Amino acid sequence: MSEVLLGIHHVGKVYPRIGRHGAGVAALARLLLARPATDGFVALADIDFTVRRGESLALVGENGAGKSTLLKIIAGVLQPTTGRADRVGSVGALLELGAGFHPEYTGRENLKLAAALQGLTGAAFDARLDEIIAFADIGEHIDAPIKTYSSGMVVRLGFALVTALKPDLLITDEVLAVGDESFQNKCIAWMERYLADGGTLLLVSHSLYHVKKLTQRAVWLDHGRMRMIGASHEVAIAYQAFHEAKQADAKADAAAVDSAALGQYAVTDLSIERCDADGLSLHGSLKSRDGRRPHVALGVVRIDGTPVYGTTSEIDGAALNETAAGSFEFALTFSDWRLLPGAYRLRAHALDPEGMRVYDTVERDFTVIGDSRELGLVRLPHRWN
Amino acid sequence: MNPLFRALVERELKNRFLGGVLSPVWWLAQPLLTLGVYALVFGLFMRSPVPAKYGDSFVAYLAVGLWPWLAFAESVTRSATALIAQSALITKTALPRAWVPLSVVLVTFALNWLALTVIVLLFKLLGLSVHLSGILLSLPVWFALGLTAIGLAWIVSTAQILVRDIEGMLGPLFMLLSFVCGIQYGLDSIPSAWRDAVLANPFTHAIARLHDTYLAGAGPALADAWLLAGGALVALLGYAFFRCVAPHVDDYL
Repeated sequence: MSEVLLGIHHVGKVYPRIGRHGAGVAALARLLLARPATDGFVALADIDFTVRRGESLALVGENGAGKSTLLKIIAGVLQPTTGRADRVGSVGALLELGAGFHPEYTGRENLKLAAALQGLTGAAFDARLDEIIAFADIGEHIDAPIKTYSSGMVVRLGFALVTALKPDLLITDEVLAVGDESFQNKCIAWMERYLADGGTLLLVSHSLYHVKKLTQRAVWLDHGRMRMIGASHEVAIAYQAFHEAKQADAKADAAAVDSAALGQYAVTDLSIERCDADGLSLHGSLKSRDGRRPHVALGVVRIDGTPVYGTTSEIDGAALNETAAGSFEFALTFSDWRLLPGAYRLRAHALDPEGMRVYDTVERDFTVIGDSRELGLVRLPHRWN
Repeated sequence: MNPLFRALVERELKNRFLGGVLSPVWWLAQPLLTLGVYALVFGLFMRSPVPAKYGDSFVAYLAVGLWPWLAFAESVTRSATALIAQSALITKTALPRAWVPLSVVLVTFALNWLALTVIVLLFKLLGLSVHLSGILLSLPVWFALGLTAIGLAWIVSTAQILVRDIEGMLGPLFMLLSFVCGIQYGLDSIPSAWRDAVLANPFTHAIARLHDTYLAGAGPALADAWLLAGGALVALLGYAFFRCVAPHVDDYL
């Protein structure tokens, strides 16, 4: 097993409350007496994981989840309140767009200090300067002050420097979100080569595509805590499902219609018996107050509500079995399942015997597991010619 | 010199010369203007006497005390906001934070030492009573002031982040200190009731040693060792303060 390059041991970070009158003097006294902050905003709590040489790990999470704080602690820029971060080998960190660049200085001048900050100095820096400038590909702007650069040009310069450093551990925080598509592709290609050559990557990205493409494992941070750690495609699916569910809940709240209140026909049970790569089997039951045989509509939606497929017993010409007076049941199997990995929702609606009016809705969530990186909802049969 | 520290010093040096039309000469022009104002007020209007052992040039007497004092006061005052000014750098990169105020002090002292050296050479050419040996013999005093400035710079640069009033207090404090350490007038001009208080100020002895070396051609003295020891003590205390506070200033920047 390869050596541990990064050990995060029960790391916590509390930002003290500031802004109150006299808080600065109190904080100064506390720091001089080496007393920890008693109250404040908990940015990170009990973060614990390791990264071995050659691994690639992504940090995902919503804004404010603590990703950037954790990266700063890993890069040695910020001190944790509790726990410790152990690093071995050289660390190259791209923590923020243009971090360490002075707006008044030219790109070339800024590279010198930025390189020195990353340990590249003297003749070694001079020898690689042309290579760095070539990768950045910003033409004559290299001799113009940084304040005249676009954000994309600044990130080009920062990333170009990292390509010359080839650190043992590379830390990037959302840097790919800024550059144009061709530069993003260039960066991704470089990172893939870097990883193939044994490099170790710690990536923060809101792009789950980048997470799945570039990393093997991922940590999902939620309100400063580790909500999940595992294979990046599994974490990405769970994280995406979380977001989609959040969006769907917001939609549902906005347009909540209590169909069951209509009361005539109701879904009393909906169960998923089996869900795997081959298909899904389900069964359920309905109540009918007037004793007439209702229909049922079944639908599969993405967890954010995007429809995938729907049908009804009326469309298919199927009749529900009556098990007792006013009680009906149904069972259905989806075979030759082509859904792509992700989180989905099964919906059953009670319909009137004419199959016209919706009376009730019951939902069950399910997840299709897999490591496919294909995009969309369903796999369409295809072939390359 | 560590390449990163050298790069930081180069950047600090360049910062002094960026922007304004007069920036390239400001390092010499500003103390010269201060010298001119003091010479006018204390030399011409108030006719402050120059102690006999230091010759008869009030301008030379003023200059050799003023430049090192300005180096000291300016470096500490500039350092007060150095970490705040470089917050983008220190909160995003693993830059050794102690180097930021250190580079400010180093550059300020180097520029002022160079400026005074140029002035002393000019005085010599003009026939004023200065000793060129003072350029080297005064170095222990410059180092002592530099060490004191570094210690204070480490303290104020971090404390300023938490207590933003500090920089505002430094100006009046240094002005008061400059008037009670014998820069603008000899100690003989101070009423005897206050003389002991002025002599209790260590800066008084530093300025006296600068007068001794530049104007009287005096060699090394035990006072230099005391001044260096005092400077080293302040530097150590300042560094201890910095180590307690600096790693946590991100929370307040």
